Amino acid sequence: MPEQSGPVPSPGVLRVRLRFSPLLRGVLLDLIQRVDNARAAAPEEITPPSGLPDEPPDPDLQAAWADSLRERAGFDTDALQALAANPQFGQADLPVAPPAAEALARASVQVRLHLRETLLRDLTTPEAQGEIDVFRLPSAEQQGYACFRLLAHLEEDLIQQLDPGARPA
Amino acid sequence: MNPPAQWPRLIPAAATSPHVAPRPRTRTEPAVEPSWDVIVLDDDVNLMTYVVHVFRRVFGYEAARARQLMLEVHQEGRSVVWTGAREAAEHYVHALHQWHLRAKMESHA
Repeated sequence: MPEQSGPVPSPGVLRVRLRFSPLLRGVLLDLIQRVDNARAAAPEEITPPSGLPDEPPDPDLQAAWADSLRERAGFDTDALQALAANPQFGQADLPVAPPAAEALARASVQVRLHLRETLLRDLTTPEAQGEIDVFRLPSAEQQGYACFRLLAHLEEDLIQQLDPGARPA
Repeated sequence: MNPPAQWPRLIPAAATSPHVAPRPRTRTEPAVEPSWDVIVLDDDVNLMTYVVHVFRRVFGYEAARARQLMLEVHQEGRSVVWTGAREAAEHYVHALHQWHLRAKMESHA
């Protein structure tokens, strides 16, 4: 297969193809809501870029920067929430348009980053990447870890459908 | 061989006469804007495939280039993924933040 070059191609409709327990869908919905709440409660965590070391920060730039990131993050988690609210999610293939697939991938990262900074903050990097006996974790962390891995699979599958050239050689 | 009369003088007159003060330079040199690096930092959450996709979407890089930069981030802990003017660097860092990559910009000044 020749090397894919240039801009990412526009594929047709993609599919969410995961299968998992319906119980996990409820856990995921709660988790997405917690991420939305955390973002609303701590907007200052969205940081602007560093400027020159000796120049004062530009409040207008910082405000516009943070507002834009919050808006995008909210749009993305809305897409993931809508997917998770569908009773067929995890039970059947679901069609998704490419722009929505990117929003779902970004939202998956957002939720996974939140989990990594909260419930899963004590895991080592290898543990976070799968080298772990999940059953030694407390119940809440087991559920968080299950969502963490589920969202990684969702993200990976969507990106590979969207952009086959993104797969590491 | 003598030079023809019309050849220009190679030595300015001022340099040969101690009584002629050199004229101050009045030409303005164009200001050199510092260039800015856009730097992506490693984390243990973002997947390799995702990072490659983000580099392709944000910068329009070919797959091989995007993969090379992703591996640099993964192995070195950081990679300069783009260098250029400040406004464009801000735009790119913002776009990378929208995709939840750890990105920052540093100047060469």
